[in-house]
Amino acid sequence: MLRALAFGTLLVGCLTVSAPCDATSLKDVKVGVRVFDFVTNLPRGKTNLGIIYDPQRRDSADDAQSILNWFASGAVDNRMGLVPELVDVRRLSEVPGLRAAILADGNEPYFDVIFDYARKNGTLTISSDLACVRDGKCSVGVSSQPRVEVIVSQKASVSCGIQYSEAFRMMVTEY
Amino acid sequence: MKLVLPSSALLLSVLFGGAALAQQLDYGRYEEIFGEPVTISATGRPERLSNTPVIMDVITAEDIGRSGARDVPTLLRRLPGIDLFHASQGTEELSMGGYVQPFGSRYMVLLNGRQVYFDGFGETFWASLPVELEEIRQIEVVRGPQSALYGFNAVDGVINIVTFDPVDDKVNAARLRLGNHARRDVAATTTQSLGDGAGVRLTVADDHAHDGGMVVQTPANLQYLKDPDRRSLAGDFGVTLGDGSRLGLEASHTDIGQRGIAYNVFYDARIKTDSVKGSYTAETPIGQLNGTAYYTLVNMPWVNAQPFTPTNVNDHTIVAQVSDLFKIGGADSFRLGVEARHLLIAAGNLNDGAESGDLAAGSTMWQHDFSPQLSMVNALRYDYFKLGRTGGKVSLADRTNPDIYTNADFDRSLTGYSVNSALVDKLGDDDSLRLTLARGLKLPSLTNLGSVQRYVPVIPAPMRPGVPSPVFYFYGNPDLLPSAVYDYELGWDHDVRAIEATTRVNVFHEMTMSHIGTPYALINGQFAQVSMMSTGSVADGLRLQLEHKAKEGWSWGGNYTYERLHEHYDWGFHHNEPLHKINANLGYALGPWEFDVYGAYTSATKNFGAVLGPIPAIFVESVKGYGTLAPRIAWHATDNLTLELVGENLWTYQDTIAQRTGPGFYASVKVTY
Repeated sequence: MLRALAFGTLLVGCLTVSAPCDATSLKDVKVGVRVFDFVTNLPRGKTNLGIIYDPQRRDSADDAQSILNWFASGAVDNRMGLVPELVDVRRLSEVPGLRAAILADGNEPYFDVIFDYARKNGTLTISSDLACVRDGKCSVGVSSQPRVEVIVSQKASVSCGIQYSEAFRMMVTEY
Repeated sequence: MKLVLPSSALLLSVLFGGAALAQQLDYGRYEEIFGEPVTISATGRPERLSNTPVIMDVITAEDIGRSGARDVPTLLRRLPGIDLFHASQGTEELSMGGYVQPFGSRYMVLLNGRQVYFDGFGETFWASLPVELEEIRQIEVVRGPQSALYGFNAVDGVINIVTFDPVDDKVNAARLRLGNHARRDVAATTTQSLGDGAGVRLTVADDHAHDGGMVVQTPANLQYLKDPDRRSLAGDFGVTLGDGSRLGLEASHTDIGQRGIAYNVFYDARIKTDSVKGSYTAETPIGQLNGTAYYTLVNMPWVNAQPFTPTNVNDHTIVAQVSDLFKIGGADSFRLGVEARHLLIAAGNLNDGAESGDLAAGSTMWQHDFSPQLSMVNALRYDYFKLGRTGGKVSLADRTNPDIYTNADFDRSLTGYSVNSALVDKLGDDDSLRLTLARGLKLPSLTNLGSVQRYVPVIPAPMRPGVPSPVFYFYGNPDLLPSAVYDYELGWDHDVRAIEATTRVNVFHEMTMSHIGTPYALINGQFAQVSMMSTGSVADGLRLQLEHKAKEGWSWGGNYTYERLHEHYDWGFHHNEPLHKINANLGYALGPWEFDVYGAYTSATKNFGAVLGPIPAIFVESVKGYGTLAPRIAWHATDNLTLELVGENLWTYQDTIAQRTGPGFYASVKVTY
């Protein structure tokens, strides 16, 4: 009974508190990683992939750790040779030359900071928070439910110097 | 009742196809992202199947694996609106949207964008396709006229067979199939990596079965029995170059022998096909540039047909295409394309020279996304076609009895434009609505235009003094014009989440403005086919589909098609077209076991045929409605070994008046590695 109550409480919590339930899913990461195949001006071979998170937020830290674990466990097909690493968003400016990054959940207050970094370093930023893309702060947004959607911010991509294959541009929604 | 045979029937006809898209899309990687098939066949623009603005079906590799089918036509006939009829034990003829007729298909067939539709007979000889089912990623079937993308002749639709990528997809398999009718099919495919970003796939196949099923087994007919044999060798090479551009090379050779039939007149033929193709795709500052060039030689060392003395045919097709795909802003995509094509056919003793066709075409496509939900696409293509003939008679004084034209009569050109427009509205996560309008062009075949000028005496000597010997007339006509086909389709797709099924409803109205053929098959008591323009026809139809697919547990689906033809003049098409067609399938997968059964029902039709002889005659005969059943059991003994038992056509039926299709049973062993 207590277990059922706890589960119900968690479920209600998930439905009413958006942050933990908006966590990046494995499928989101799989889709996001595949986007790299269609970026024409990123270096090939081993490339550092920053997993940007806010260590002050538990949900953000957990989300980032999950993403890192999926890479480590092989759940994500990493044929591109990406080298994932956790990056504290508060210390982002100290990280040299990241060319690719996935935004964990809970980075909303730092979208401008992340965008400034991406613009200076030519960083491809991928987020499952589509608001970041619609606001022109992230280059690519992915959503895997109910069906896969990939959206691209032209403004952010141009600012960061990110170029995609023409075929890819035609397959996604651009803002 | 008036009866008319299209002049393409019985004749060696030459139809040339329009633009064929190169396979410049990375199918596998996009499918990984979006979790659904992607295509470039619909508009020339890459898109997800669920987003495409045209009415389209895709048969995936998973569908093929569960089908038990031995060939592509068997897969296609399970789609709505596709008719299949058998010309012999080893040959099939398909039609889309009505117009069931031998030799004169109105749809384009492509293999990785290369036209495999055979110009010489206006026909796709399915056995001559250099592809095994294990190699196929998906078969894309686009409905309605697609001339604005593919050029002349794609007026009822396009079938594009897409194989796996030799760079990214490792297809390694060997398969042995044994069955009744002395069936013995073997095939092997291997894919080898040639370093980073490069790979090659080689495939070899050898198929054999015994001929049979001929309904009227007279000595005259039986001499045309011919076991269907097929040998195929194909290679597909691809490499991604340092700058990210992609180079592809394909080469293939097939050698088939088969009996065929057209309007109750038999022929047997050996058909050797060789093809080479190169393609190049690169990202440039002006968009994605694609270049494709290919050459196909179809050599028929002999064609032994009842109306003719044995002859031979050589058919050459050379095609070069360049296109640019680019996007301006976030909402507007464009494709610009040019194409050049050279055709040459020499048909042995069927004419006095070699007839040629040179084509130049330009096309454009524009897609505008009003919103993520609402899109519009428009495409326009203009074709210029120059007819020619060399080696024939140059003056009227030289002309022989059968040839009523001189070379100068072939010195003319044809032009025309094609249009496709479509609107797709994604009404929500589960619904989408499509409206398509199209104007396609059907070019007269080179046979229609005069590559065959034949005057065949049935009895060499006069029957009696003063009475001409019976003859067959086969006269082309270089003064023909292209025929326009207008098509309007409305489609609604709906995902029924409660049962994880997809349902589709499509209605269409198609108008063919003119046909090419012989009004009355008999002229002055003689069997004659003289190419000329005649009045057109209207086809209306409805297609319903419901489908649930699952890798485990139950799979099921079905479709229903209603099609009705109205002819302004009695061509006989409405006789051949079944009003009702139903397909259904049920399957269950449990661990390593798969059980599937496919059923089909086709309502009654009528066929018309010709009786040769001193006094030729035309007749119409009923073909009863029929049902077929094809069960399958497969056991995946290991990850690399599959055993399969399949039955096809569990009871004998006829879909033509001349050929009886009997039950087939086979067992196959497939090893993958």
